[in-house]
Amino acid sequence: MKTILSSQTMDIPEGITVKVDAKIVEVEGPRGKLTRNFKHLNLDFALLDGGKKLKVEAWFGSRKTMAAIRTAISHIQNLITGVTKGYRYKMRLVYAHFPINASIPNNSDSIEIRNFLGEKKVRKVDMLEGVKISRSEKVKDELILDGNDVELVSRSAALINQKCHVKNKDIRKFLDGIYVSEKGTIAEEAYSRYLAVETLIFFLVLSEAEDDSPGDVEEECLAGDESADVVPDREGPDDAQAASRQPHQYVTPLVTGLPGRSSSEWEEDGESQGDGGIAGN
Amino acid sequence: MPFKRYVEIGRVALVNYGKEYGRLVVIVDVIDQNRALVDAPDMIRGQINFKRLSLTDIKIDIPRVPKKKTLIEAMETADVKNKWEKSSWGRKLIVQKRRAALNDFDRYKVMVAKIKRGRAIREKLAKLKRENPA
Repeated sequence: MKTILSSQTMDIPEGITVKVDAKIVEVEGPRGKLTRNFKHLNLDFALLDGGKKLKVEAWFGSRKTMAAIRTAISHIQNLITGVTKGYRYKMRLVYAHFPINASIPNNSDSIEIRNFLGEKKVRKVDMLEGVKISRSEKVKDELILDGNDVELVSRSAALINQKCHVKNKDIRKFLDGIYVSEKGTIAEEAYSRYLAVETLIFFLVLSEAEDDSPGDVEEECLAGDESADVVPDREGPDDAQAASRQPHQYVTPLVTGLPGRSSSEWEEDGESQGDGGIAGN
Repeated sequence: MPFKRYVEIGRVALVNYGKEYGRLVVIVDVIDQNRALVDAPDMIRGQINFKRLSLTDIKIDIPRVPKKKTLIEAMETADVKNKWEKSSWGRKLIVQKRRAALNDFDRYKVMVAKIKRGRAIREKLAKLKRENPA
């Protein structure tokens, strides 16, 4: 049945200009400009409220055209985050025996992969437009793809992944390859680093505050209670004592690049997790 | 870009097909997805398919299915007739009707008038060209 009118509105955040003309949407923001063509959809795009809201309407739509409204809005939201935060996809080089040798030339727009499974073939993958690739400094065997357009970044990641498929082997056993480990935004990294700094400052302030007597009593209690039941506090007793003695010289160890949730799980240079149970080893 | 002339109660429309061709009507109710109940001061209220209507910019303020008297009053206050005749669409229709109703002598008069007008324009243009050679 045809629904006379269905529409959805989305908010456009501050600092972003959106222009829409004849179903071509242009989004401009701090990281640059992105365009997307929606001419294959039968929808009305209208900017309301002086550019602060975007309304998408479908007149006499079937179920499928009405579904397209929300997808169009999601695509535009991806454009907006691409243009403010950018997209960062992280990939890990996974190998059991032959170290994958990945080299990136200076202009960061292609990658060469050698020694995949010991093969002599050199695989070269060109990144799509606007996508930069680099090796992560802090994490071993990690590639970072940066870009504004999520479609291009994710497709570049897929191209790399597909170049390293294993042929003529049991893929449950030969798990080598380059896999996407994290899909995120570039601005998020900066935010998590900011969070780490904030928590450190918080601890600093706390440790300085423990100079007064209530804090000392606490420490004595903790010191006297040698049993293993002592639940370790956010700051261990050692830190607090050290801090109370010399509050201003408490040197906080620099937390190096808060790792993404996934990297610790990937730490293997030998048997992967699925090894024991399969093939009756 | 999106639509501005909505099918609503009070929308003035022009019938563009059928027995009532050329009549200005007001949509007084919507029957279903394809049909509306329309009314005009000098016709009996009846149903018509939307495909036979061309919506105009004019809209009047009426309740659903008003009495004839209320409808006529509302059309007077909104001054539909004058607005229509002044609008470019309305004026074009009037000219079309006039042209269709000409007899041979009238067409002869039109031809003579056109020639006279064209001559005056060309004379003036030539004079301006002579004065400002550019």
